[in-house]
Amino acid sequence: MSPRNSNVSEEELIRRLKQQEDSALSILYDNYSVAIYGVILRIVKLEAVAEDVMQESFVKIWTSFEQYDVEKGRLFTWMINIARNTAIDKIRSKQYRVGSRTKTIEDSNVSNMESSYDVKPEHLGLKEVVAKLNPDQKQIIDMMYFDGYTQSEVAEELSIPLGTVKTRSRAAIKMLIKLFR
Amino acid sequence: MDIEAYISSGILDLYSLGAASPAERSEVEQMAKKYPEIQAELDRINVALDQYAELHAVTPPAHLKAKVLSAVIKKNPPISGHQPNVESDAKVIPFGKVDRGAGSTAFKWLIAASVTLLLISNGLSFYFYNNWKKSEDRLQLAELSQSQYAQNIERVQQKLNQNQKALALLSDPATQRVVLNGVAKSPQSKATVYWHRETSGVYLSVDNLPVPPTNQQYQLWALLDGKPIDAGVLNSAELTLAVQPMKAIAQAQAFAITLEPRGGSISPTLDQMYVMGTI
Repeated sequence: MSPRNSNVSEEELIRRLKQQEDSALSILYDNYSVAIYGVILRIVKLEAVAEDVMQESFVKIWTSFEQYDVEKGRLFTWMINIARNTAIDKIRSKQYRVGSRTKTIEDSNVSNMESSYDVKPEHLGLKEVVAKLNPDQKQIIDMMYFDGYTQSEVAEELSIPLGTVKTRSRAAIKMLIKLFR
Repeated sequence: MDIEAYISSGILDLYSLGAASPAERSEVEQMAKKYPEIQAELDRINVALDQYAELHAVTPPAHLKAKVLSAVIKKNPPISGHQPNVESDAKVIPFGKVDRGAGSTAFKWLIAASVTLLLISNGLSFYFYNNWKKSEDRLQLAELSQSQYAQNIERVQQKLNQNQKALALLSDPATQRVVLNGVAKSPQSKATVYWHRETSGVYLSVDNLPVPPTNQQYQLWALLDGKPIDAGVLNSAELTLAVQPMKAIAQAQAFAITLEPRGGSISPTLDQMYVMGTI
């Protein structure tokens, strides 16, 4: 992902974030919030919850920025993993499970969101990619990446051996790499 | 190291998908450090997943930015807030100077007070530590005696069961009572065998036998057609206590007790016979 604010390079942004400049935080938000919010919303499904998780994620990104190591990977990967983990922790917490059940019955937040899903311009590529991934491959990626399943949980849920979980993940990711080349 | 095989095992993919176990995670991190090809594949995987994530992008509501930024600032005020500015520096200096002149006695008092407090606090810590230690000891003692009581009760219960069985045996008409009288070696000795012919159960009550040396034990024998059959050794500790159960004997014409090395013998030491009785 290329930063949208073209005035500031990623290196420059990282340097300023390491020094805890709050102006850098605003640029970080502008550059990445669309992608991060999308992933969070995909995981927690409800907009109100997504906003809380977004807040929590940015607090974590800001307070643990020292731990970010350019050598180990891209800034985007690091941030998206923080957001993913925060969101997955949220849906796995008891409170959330009880709360979301009652909410989904009353208001139709989820269906609203899903209808808005299709109109978003950012989503134009999703259907094409999904169409090229086979359903098994997409399912295994989504279960782990968005729903936080461990490999043994996937094996149990899909009633397939652990070895198959590994080979299927490899095949799915290879396909993704090919599609995005 | 077969790097191709490692990559195609799928472990890197699980790692990037967040589904690897903690052990696998640290393994992958070490491998990536060691082998540039593995790091390169990991990068490819992450880029692909980042792109996949981006496909799900949704523009957040406009009001969210202010909310997020203020939450971050509240949690962790920016560094500029920590740095003392010139004005507050100017205020700090005179405050220090005033203290240095007029406040030195007050300062001494403060030190004295804090030292006293420290001593009191140390004393209290010691006192409470000792109390705690004592309670701990007492608790251990109580636990010990409690477990001893429990053991005693169990022993008594066992004894009671035994005695009930023995009593049932003694009052059973099928039980035969065989009196074993002292032989020439020990004329005062006497014991009684209670033998149930139907169940083959054998119980022994010792009326009078000399206390055996600690390395020896009495052993009961059943005699059938002149051949001795081992009927078990007598528990020395319970020699005078009620009746003790012995090994089952199906057929016998006589019973005898000899003194044998501890644990019993395969055949009786005849010159060590103390009592004998025929049926």
